[in-house]
Amino acid sequence: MIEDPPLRILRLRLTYLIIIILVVLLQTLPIQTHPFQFVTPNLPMIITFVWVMRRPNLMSPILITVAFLFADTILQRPPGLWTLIVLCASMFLRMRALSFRELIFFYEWSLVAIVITCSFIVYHFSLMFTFLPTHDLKLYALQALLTTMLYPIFIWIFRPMLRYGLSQTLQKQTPKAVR
Amino acid sequence: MARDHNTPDRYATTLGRLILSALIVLLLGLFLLWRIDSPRVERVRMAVIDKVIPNFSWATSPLTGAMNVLRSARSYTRIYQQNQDLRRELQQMTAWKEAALQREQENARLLDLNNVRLDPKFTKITGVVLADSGSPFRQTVLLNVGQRDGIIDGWAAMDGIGLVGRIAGVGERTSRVILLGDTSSRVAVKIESNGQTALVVGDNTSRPPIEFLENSETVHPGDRVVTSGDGGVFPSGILVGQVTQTPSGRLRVRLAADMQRLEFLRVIRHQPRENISTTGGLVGLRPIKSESNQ
Repeated sequence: MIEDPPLRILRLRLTYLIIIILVVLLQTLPIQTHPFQFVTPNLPMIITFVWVMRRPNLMSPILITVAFLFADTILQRPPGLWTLIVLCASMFLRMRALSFRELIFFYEWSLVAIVITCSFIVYHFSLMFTFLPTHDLKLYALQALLTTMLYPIFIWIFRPMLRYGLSQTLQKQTPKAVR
Repeated sequence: MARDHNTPDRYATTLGRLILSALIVLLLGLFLLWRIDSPRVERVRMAVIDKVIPNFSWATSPLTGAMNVLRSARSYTRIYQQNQDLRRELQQMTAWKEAALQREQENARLLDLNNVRLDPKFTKITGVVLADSGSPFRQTVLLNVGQRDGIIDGWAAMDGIGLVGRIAGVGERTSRVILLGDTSSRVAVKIESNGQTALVVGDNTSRPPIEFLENSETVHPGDRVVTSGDGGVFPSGILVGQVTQTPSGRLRVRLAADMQRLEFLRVIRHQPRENISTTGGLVGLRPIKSESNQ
């Protein structure tokens, strides 16, 4: 197991927070104020899952809670509910992240797909059981599908950022060994 | 977190579990609190948005501007044809303007004859749209005017032409407008041609349906829909749009406001009507007194 220097952990955590905040703020840009009939993928969620699967040691529950409470507040969602669901889902994924590392990518992707679908279903029914206005389950299904489709893309985008600090430590140690 | 966890086994430590369960309880509590006492939590939310969004406008406004320029640039390709169309339209409009002026004079004469007292002109506050709801399921926008500009919950917001929505949530520097298309938006309207009242109920589409209409046979596509002022939330007589009919026969409103591009919104300053609650005093005593005062 390669240990990360604490500074790098802090830096990556800050990067995660900034990415989520930027994505949320970009979503609120008043570019399209017209109601539109298609749904958009849930970007903060998929970004979180990518980070959890790739770097489980970074994603503390507090970090996820802070990021998603911010999103809940800005995006006019019932505060806390979506955060709670994403938090539980990420913790579920985090426990299994390392064991899925050795398996082929397809298994990992299917696990994430199942978790995403369950999250949306739980969200829909918790809104229903608390007598809050919710939407067609079809819309949520579409959103889950779109979000799942983005998983490999975000894995690819974040790969250079989330690689373990192997190359760094090697570079640091090699000159010492030569001397 | 000061602790540095590296393997998932160490997450299962008591401290990690404690933190996780504390967070879960906290979030669940927050959600239930919001469900029970929504206005108070919404006020907190509005305060947070009030702090955050205006501070990010330096980053977001160039992006919005760039997108708008790009969209306008697309229309330059058809500029000649547009010019011709506009010219033709302008000719028609001058004819209409003449007719309207004549009608206005006639109207003023008739009102004068009848001794009608009209509402004083509505004053308005203009705000710039800072952000939208960011979610496909909600239709709201955020304006850069708030409590310090005297905005009050419930006032109507319109663009140059028609009603856009209603103020719901006021912060110190920002306020939120629920658009007519939002699922929680209900506006009391009147069909102008025959004076029937109805509700325009938002359903997340660009053309909200007209509900609770008493007699839908006498309403035709193209009739103007204005606010009725019932319930005292909105001033009456603000243009909402025109009636259209879907192929299935359902009546909907084509909104007069340009919902594609909301940039500047006018918030109508509206003092609710005074309620006449007493049944009136003794006949004969009061009128004499008030007349002597005047």
